[in-house]
Amino acid sequence: MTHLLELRDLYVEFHTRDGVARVLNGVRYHVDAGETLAVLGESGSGKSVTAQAIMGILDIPPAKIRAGEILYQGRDLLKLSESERRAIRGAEIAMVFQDSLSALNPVFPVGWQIAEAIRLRQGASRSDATRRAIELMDRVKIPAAKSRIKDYPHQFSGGMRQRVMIAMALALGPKLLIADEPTTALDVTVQAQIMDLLAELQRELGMALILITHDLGVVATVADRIAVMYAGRIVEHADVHSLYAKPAHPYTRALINSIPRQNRRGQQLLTIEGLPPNLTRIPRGCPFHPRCPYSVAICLTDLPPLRDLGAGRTSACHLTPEQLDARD
Amino acid sequence: MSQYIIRRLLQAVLTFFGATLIVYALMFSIADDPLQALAGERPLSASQRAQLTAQYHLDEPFVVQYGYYMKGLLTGDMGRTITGRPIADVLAEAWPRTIQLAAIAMAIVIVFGVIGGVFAGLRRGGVFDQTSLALTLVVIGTPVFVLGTVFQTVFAVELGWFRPSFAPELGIATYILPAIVLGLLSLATAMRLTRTSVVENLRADYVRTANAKGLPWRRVVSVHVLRNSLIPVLTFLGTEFGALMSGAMVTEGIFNIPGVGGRLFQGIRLEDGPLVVTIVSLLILIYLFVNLLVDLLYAVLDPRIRHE
Amino acid sequence: MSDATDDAVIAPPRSLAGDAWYDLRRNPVFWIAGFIVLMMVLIALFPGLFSSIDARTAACSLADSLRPPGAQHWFGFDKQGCDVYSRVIYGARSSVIVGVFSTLIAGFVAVLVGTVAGFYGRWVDALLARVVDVFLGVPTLLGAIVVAKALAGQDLGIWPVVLALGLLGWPTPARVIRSSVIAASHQDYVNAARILGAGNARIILRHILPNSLAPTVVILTIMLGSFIAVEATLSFLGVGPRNTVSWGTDIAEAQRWIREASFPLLFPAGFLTLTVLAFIMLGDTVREAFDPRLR
Repeated sequence: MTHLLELRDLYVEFHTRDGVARVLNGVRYHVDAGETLAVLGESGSGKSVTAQAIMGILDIPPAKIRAGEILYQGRDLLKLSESERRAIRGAEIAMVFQDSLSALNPVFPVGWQIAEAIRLRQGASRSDATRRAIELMDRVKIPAAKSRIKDYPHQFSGGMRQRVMIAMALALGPKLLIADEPTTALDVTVQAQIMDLLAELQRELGMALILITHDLGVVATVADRIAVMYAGRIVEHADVHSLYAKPAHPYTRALINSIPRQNRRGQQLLTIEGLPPNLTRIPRGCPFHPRCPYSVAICLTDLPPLRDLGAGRTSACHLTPEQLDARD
Repeated sequence: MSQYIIRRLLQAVLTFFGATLIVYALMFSIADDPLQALAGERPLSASQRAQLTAQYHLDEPFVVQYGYYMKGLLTGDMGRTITGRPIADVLAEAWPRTIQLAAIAMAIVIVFGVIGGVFAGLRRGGVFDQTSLALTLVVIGTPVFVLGTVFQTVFAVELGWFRPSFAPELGIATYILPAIVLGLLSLATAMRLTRTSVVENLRADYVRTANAKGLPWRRVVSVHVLRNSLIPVLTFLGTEFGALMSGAMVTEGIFNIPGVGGRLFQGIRLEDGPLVVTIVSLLILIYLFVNLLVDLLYAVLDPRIRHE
Repeated sequence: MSDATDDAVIAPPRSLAGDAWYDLRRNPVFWIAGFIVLMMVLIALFPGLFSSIDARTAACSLADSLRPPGAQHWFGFDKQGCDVYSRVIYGARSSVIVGVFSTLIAGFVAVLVGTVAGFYGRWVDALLARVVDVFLGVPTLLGAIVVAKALAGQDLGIWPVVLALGLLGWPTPARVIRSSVIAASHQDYVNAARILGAGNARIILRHILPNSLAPTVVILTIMLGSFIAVEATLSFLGVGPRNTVSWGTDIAEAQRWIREASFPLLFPAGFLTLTVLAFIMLGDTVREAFDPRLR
């Protein structure tokens, strides 16, 4: 079946002063209209690079797409010309970034920035585009939108600015929205509001949403499926309930265990020992093995394949969940 | 916004009085015999002494002297040169020449410096970028008078493309070579500044956002990047105009242009104290005024400043 | 079990200073500029090592006027019949020494004012900012001319110029120092030191100053270069130090006879430009190496 967006075996490297960093090593995931895929991972796992590759805004060089396909509605984006990609960018697939203060242009009013894409790409007149911008700002629940279109980004609070970014992304009615750490820079209460907003918009507009984050807590209420990334590959893929209830991959297990919980009050916080690998020198075998409490001999030599656990679940581990349970 | 303007205005007034006070103090108080300092090495007769003492109120307290001086300056009574000619007349004749010189120099700076800097920044690391970086560096390191004398030697004396000295019969064309010399340092700095600003802004997050909106690269650069990059450049250019007026002194001296700078240069050579001090004070006034305008311009261009 | 500290996997941490030195080492401009600076300082301090003729006392004979460069006299003779090579070597003293001393004075005042303004902030900062504005209102070259002129009657050698430059040059580096002091003051290690009971003086000396050092040194180096240029300009205009061998005066003199010979102009001009450039480049390369934004 043709997914709205599907990544197949994407390999991306970065050529740096210290050598070639293998940032994406065979990433595969997909998302369909109306659903939310959360891509979970630490910094350096490659989740943002994947998003930028989809959008086509990677800096090439130093980045280089070595292999793979990015299929949007069945067409491989990597085989399209730049102008064809640009037609899709913003209009079909849109993106919201993490740091709204630096992501918005400081010298133009907010309304102008939201309306820009509408004016330029849909040929709307200035007044029509401005009207649309006010509507969008209302949609994302910015109070007194009409009076604020001439304000500048620095005059908004963090949460409001993020809503502006979302309004800007929705301007051309995209089918897929990629949100790269949209709430990381915000307080907890505001985080929840933005997450609710995204969920609501997605329902109303029937969009697909790829939510990129490192925060497990944020993802639980919004996502349908979760793809966990480590060292440039997907190590586990499951629907949200199963992932939280019975994580299959050791990395996911460790992540879930490290969430501070009420019922463990007074006990020591659990962490994952060690650090993510240096991407210019990824160890042989499973990249997680140096930090994995379950590793066995084969983990040091062989890259684990993505094992199909049934019901759409996969896990990249040599050991099955039962075998992991047995070793606990 | 108006608060900002008022604040800057007050600062400028304070600075003007402070700076001119310093110039005045330097001129009259450091020397043991201020009269002698005014006259340079020429010995003064008793009557000249009496006249200068009366003219500059030297028998009164320092602050009063300064007060008289300021009043005179601000009401247009600028006194006389050591030879007795009214300074106001000297300046009225000299000013238009300096303005023409500075205007042409400014045009050269903008056309070649700013535009060149944008190109260098957009094609960072390219041939144009690297050569312009090297050339501008040499220009910045070479003192103006060296550049001026070398240019005069090469282009006017050896190659004969220009006249080596001021030739009023040529009209405005006589200012071209001097304007190039005068503008060269500002051009070099403007080019580097523009380049750096463009390079920095090209890597800004908002460029990534603009790309993600699917805007054509040409628009991203010409609207988003340029609008941000040019802010520091424009404010720099504003202050440079004031610097051009001061720097004109050496250039006008080398090319014998009787503008304000040339008169100052001559005044120094002939040790004409009153003329020197008055011209310097006026140049300070202009410099401060232009700086004030530039600060206001900055507030207009960068919305973040307006809301401080 | 797992090996949590695999050296091949974890890269060694790199500091900004380490990165900067790495870049500087590989930058040929840094070495060339540094070499030239060193040479000029040596020439300024020990001119006798480089020239057998002492330009300050040498007898000039009009018979030698404008003789071109030759084996014995590498740079030829100027209009007055003086050996250009020795004048260029001895001219370095005036320029370099003026540059160094005026930079020291300006630097000292700048560090003092900048640190106090940045560290104590509020009304102290506002007051000092006004003082800085006033001094900045006087264009450097003009102010230096006025001072030099005012002190012209007395034979004070290079000191009027040194004083003038020091007095007028401190505001620009003071601003830079103030910014880096403000940045350093907000760092957590300052708070930590305060909590441990450190007094202000100790905090400034031990924590703030060492961390504001890099941009300070950079801007002072560049300023040195520009002061040398200003000193030469003053000499060129005739208000420089009297009775001293100076590149500026030589250039001014040579300019008058440019149609007869160009080498008496080109040699001192070349040395002057090279020296100024070397100082500026040195400061510039260090600044670029330390600027994390340019990585």
